[in-house]
Amino acid sequence: MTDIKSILQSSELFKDLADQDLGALVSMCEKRMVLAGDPLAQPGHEAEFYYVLIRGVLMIAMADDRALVLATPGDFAGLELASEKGKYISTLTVLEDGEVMAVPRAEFLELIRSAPEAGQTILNAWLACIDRQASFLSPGDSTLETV
Amino acid sequence: MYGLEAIQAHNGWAVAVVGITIVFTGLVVLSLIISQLHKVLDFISNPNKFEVFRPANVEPADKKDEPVEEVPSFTGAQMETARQYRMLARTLEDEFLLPKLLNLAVISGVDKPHANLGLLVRAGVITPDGQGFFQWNQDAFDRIIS
Repeated sequence: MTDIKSILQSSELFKDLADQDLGALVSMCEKRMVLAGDPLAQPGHEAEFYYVLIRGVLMIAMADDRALVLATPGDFAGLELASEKGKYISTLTVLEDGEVMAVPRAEFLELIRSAPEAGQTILNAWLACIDRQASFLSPGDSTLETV
Repeated sequence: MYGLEAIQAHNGWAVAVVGITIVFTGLVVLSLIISQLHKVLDFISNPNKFEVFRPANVEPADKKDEPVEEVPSFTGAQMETARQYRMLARTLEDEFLLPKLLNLAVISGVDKPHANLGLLVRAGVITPDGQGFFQWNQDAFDRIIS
C-alpha cells in the first residue's frame, strides 16, 4: 500500500506543508482505485472531491476541450482547474488504471482558510504549478470564494 | 568375415565411439561459439561499452544515452493501437485537442482507447504544448515502433 503521507510529501503542492497541516490533510484523504475510462468529475455536477494522483494517468478536459494530463504522483486536480462555485467545470477522466486520493472539497478549502500559513503555502505552489503546466488557465482570476 | 564379427575384428566399435565423440564435441563447441557470437559483434560495433577497453573518462554509450525518465515499453497490441492513433491524429490539426482524439478513438473502436492514450502520453508520443493542445511526436513514435 502506498503511504498517503509520503505521496503528499513528494507532491510539489504539499511538500512544503508543516507536519501538522500535512497530518490534517492526510486525515481527510480517502484512497480510491480507479480504472481507465472512469469519469471522476463531470461539468455541472456538485464538486464534492478534488483528487491527488497516486499512480496512473488522469486527463482534465476544460469546457473548450483544452486539456491537461496528470501522470506524476502527487499531481493535483482541484481548485479552479476542477470547480467553480461548488460545481465541476471540467471533465476528469482516468486514462490509465491507478489510485487517487479523494480530498473532500469543502474540508480542503476549510483547511486553507483556517490555517493561513498552510493555505498560503499551498496556493503559492499551486500558482507555480498552473503557471508551468496550464498557463492558459490564468489562475489569477480565481479566488477561494470562486472555486 | 562379415558383419559384427568384422567390426569387432577391426576395432570398429572403438572407431565408432571416437567418431561419435568427435562429432558431438564439435557440435557442442560450435553451439557455444554461436551462443556467444553476439558479444563479439557487440564489442566490434561498440568497444567503448566494455570497461576494459574504455578510457577512464568515457561513459558507456548506453548509459550516456539513457533517458532521464523511464520510457514505458509497448506490447505488440499496444504498438498496433499506437499506429491506429497515429492515423487518427493525422486527421486532426498539428496541434489537436486530446479529448477530440480520444473521442475519435472510441468511435473508431480502438482497443482500450483510454489506457493506450495514457500510455502514448507517458511515452512522449503525444506531448502537451502548455496551452491545452497536444502534438504528435513522430520521432518518439518511430523510436518505439522500430
